[in-house]
Amino acid sequence: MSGTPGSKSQRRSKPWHLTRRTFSILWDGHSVVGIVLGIALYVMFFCGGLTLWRNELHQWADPARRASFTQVTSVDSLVGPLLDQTPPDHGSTVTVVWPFADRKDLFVSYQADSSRVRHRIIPETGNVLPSRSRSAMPNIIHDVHFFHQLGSVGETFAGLACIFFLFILISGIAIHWKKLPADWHTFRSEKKLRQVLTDGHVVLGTIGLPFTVMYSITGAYFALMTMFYGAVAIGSVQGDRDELRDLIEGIQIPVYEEVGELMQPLSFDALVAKLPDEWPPLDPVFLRIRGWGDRGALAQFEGYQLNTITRSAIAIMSATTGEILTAKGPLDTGSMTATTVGMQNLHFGRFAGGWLKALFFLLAMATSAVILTGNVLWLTIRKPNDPAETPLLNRMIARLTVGVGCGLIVAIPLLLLTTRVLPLEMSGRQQIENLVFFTGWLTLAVAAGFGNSIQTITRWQLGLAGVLSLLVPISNGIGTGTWLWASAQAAWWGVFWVDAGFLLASLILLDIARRLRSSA
Amino acid sequence: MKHNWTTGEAWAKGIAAIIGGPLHLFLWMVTVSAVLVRLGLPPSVAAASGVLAALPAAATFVIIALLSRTKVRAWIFVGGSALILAALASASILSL
Repeated sequence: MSGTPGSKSQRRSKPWHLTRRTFSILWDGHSVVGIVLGIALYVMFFCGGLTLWRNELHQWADPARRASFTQVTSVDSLVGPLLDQTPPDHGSTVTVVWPFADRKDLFVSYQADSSRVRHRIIPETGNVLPSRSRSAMPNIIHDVHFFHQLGSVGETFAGLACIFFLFILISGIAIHWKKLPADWHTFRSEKKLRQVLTDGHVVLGTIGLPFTVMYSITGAYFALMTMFYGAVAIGSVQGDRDELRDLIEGIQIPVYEEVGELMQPLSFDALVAKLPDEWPPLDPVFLRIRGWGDRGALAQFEGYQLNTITRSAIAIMSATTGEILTAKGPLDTGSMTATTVGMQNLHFGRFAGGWLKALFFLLAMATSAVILTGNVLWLTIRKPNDPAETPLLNRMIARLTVGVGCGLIVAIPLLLLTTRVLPLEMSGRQQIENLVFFTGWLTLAVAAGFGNSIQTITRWQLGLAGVLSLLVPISNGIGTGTWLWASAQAAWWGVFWVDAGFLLASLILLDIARRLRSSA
Repeated sequence: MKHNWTTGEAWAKGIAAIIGGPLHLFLWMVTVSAVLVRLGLPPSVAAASGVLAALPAAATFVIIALLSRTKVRAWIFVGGSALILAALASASILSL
């Protein structure tokens, strides 16, 4: 596997031939950094994969959010009654955000009677919901994905983990370089556990490489965004934040100046209709009117070009006449705009529909498996003949891997069951959801520290995860009457896939638990 | 010679890599964007290049620090390259 140290001339003739020393350092670096950061990266990928379905989880949690389609045919018909009922303050800013990415409701926000009004409207039903979601479940999973609960410390740690994850990937490619083509498909399931783990780690890691490299880069960008923007602002625009914003937007946004003459703005639909005809079809993101009720009010529209990764459009119009004051079409997208829009679209998997998200989800789960098998492999290779001689560090890593890794797989369905059991209108339910999730996860992590056999603990935790996952679709059927066939009939595909996903996961988890029992 | 991670030498190189990675992420973003602006490229291109170049550069610096023959070389490499990048960035920004 490693390179044979030869003379300098021999080494020069084979540029990709690693010396034994280089191979050894990269191998050790790959495994040491993998062991240190493995569990954190596992949590980031596992919860990140689930976060791709954040909207679907919202629909699952709250029956009022369920809908079979999310297209908005008329913003005015949805938002108009709300504005008539509670008119915005003169001169205030009114923002309408279309159903976009992982949020499938129309969001409206403005100031009325000096207080902020925020609503979410379901386009299909016209249901008006409070802006804060009634269930914390999807947001808990989203926040754990980059350790947001720990504030800026957690996010910075997630960003640094992404940098060193890229090192793990590069060192992994280097040490496997010579047999990389074979690593795509060599999986020997009939061999010993150690070989199966090795093959699983290498095959899944090789297949997922483009995906993991992309996520290490985009993940670092999002987690360390302040640092990224600060650095390029110093370098390119001498620290001018406004100029950097213009670079990111790709357009200089005019400042609203009050004219002091009363005049109602055009309707939202009329403003959207004023966009240039030559622009390709757009996925609208938001329309913001600054200076509501004033003749000088400005309307800012932003959208992404459909089925592209880096193209966005912005138009600034007079809100009262619809005249376009300045605009940037999708084909005029500058480098910095393309970079920031591209980072977002790639990271959130929102440039090629639901199938791409499904692929990203499978790759995220595969990467989680690669990380856990990496830990198990590291431990298996260093396993002494006499189990009593296992170093304390190795035993701790083994328990931590099972406790945190399998514990998370149990805590997720436990969280969904809690969401389903608690009444939606119950006060303090979000705190209870948080408490159950984190206490459950911590308990399982601590429980993994006890017991003689790590295999038995793993089997029990996976079995428990399987049973709880099985209860997820059952609880939804009993609790909201939405059995799998009912959600399919109503074309509530978000709800259907959450239930179907947990049903499938339960079968896989119970099968693994059964196999672990038979191999014990 | 097999690399031994239990030695102080390896730890010193490891720490150089841990500090050097994020440090070079920041410095590369500043320097690449500043130098490209100084060379006359539009700020948008310069800023985007800084963002895109920085992370691969940071990972490369981690690898080079780890592969250094001695801890002194690792620290000289990380510190020296950081100083050169900072000097380049300062010169580019101040000359605009």
